[in-house]
Amino acid sequence: MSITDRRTDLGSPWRRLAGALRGAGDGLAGWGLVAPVVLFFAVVFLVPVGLMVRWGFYRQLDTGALSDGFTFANYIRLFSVDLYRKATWTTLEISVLTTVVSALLAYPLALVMARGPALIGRILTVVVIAPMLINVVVRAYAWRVILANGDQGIVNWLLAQIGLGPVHLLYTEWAIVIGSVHVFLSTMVLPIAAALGRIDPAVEDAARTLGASSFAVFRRVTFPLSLPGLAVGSTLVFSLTASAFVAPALLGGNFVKMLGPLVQEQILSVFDWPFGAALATLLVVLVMGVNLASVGLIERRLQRKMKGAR
Amino acid sequence: MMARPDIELGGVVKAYHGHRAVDGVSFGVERGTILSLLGPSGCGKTTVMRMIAGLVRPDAGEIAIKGQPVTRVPVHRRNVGMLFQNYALFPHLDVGGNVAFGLEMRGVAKADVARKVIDALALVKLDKLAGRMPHQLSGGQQQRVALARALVVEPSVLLLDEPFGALDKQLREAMQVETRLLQRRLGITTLMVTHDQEEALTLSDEVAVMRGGRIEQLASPTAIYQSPTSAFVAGFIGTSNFLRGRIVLRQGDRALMESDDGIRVTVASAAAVGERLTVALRPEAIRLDLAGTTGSGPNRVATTIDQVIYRGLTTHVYLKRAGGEPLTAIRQNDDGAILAGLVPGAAVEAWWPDERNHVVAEDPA
Ligand SMILES: Nc1ncnc2c1ncn2[C@@H]1O[C@H](COP(=O)(O)OP(=O)(O)OP(=O)(O)O)[C@@H](O)[C@H]1O
Ligand SMILES: [Mg+2]
Repeated sequence: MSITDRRTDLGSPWRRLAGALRGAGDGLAGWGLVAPVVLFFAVVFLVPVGLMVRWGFYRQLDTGALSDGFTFANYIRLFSVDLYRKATWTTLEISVLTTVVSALLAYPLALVMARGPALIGRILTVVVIAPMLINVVVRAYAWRVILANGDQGIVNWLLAQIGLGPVHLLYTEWAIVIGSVHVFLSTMVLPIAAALGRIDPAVEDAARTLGASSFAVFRRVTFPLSLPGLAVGSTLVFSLTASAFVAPALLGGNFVKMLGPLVQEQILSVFDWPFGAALATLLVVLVMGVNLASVGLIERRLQRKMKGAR
Repeated sequence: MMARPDIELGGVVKAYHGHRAVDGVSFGVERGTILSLLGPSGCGKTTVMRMIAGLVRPDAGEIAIKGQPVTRVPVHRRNVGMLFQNYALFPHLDVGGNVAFGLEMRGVAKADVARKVIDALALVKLDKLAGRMPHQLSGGQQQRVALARALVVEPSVLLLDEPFGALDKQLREAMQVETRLLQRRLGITTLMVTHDQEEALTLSDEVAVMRGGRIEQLASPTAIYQSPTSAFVAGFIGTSNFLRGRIVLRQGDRALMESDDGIRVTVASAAAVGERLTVALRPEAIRLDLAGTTGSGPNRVATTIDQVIYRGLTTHVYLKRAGGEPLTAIRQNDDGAILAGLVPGAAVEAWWPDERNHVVAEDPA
């Protein structure tokens, strides 16, 4: 089996990861190779996450001391107070919106990057990557200037010039979505462009000789073969948006609350570490749950498609 | 009356960056036959094929399939079956899905699709593997799926671009035979691209040798081997010794040529005395006499053996003449043994029947 075929294989990233781990486990040499990474992750990821989950089950007493043992008090509060339920919902909503908008913007861009003239491809790559070179705080402040409400924002000023507006943008969900799309667009574009670049042009030529119009080639060959890239990009953008805190804090302010800023508030302003930990745990579970569910869904759909094609 | 060829090209030209990759190619492939495009790498074979399929637009010239001009018909309406060098199976579809693709594009009813897919897979003996994914197949199996996928839509013509190039020798020969049988059974007009001369000779009804974007010679396999018209074809199909020289004597429709290094050969040629000619001489035409010099007539020369290479069925004998000029002879091995006495350093008389002297056109270059 040639390497190209294996690379365009739609096997899930998870299955491939499992395969790689099994392969690595084939001998002591394999373990030797992964040991440093395993150790590193154990120290900087598993231990803190474990501690975080554990802290979520403590309770901060009025004296500021921690309760002993195990309590669900934080979680009960989390699910019974409107603010937190709403923040959870808002977080999901904004993350999904950001993912969808990024995907819609990124896909045509990735197509041009992967298929267009080499020079344009290179220029686009630079344009897409450039925002990553600027600190996220700076970018968020820039968006505040652009989206500011009343007659101060650039958008509203422009709208006023043509006799429209003003619109209310800053401190809305859309402000966060716009800011996040800007921050994470490259995260979506690059995996899609990579997946498109890996498609063997002969496969598309074959589809054309078999009677597929340009649109049919895209729908039946190009798009399905680029799905792994789209899945990777979506997973990353969703996760990063959901757990972000700078853009939500600066662009949503006190009017749109997401879980990220709430965690920060609890820990750094209220000093209620156990409740902050519970909020953070909820965020992690939420992100992981959505990712696993969507990966599973995509995989099932693909398999059904392949069967159905027969 | 002869019907029009199923594939017709007239003066087809394609240039890339000002360089003519295909430079005025015209030929026809008769109904039900296989024509092979043979030539060195980069001579434009694939480009010709892609223009017939519609994947490349010619700069000039006309292409017709089954009598219909298709030069301005888009790929997906040309109804050609094409086999790509690396098969280009859809990696995200299983074998059945791959074969069904062309039928679905044609809007064939679901029930008919299923039946035709099974029939097509049976044709290439893969009906048991309909549920496999392409990466779970061997190279030969992938090739067959690609063939089934191309044939199931009942294409007007079949285009094969180096179809066996990626297979190992054993499998390649098996697939060549199988493909040829299938082609005969279906009677489908086929154009094959290859740079394997043996493949071209064994599989084709006609062979077109290409060079630098042009067709150098188009003829049946036997004609192209036995009567190459140019030095290039004589050297590209099999091997040839080349003798270059001047006519020194004329007698009726025959002439005596003396090569620049002193070999005298008789040729059938109308060339006048003093004119320059090139004669191609197949190595297997050369006989070897170990007895030493036996005569001084034309079509013979005294040599010493430089190297002897045993090739199983044949022995390649590399000879050297007094002045060091090389000459290659190929002898059939009787009972698989090398002819006794063929050892480096031995003096041998090389001679050949004069009908094996073949006048060829010299390269313009
Ligand atoms: N898309 C292209 N862009 C630029 N040049 C091209 C393109 N396709 C082919 N060429 C050039 O045209 C010439 C003929 O190419 P072609 O692929 O037809 O050769 P070929 O005879 O099939 O060779 P091979 O035996 O190596 O497959 C080559 O010089 C090649 O570099
Ligand atoms: Mg080629």
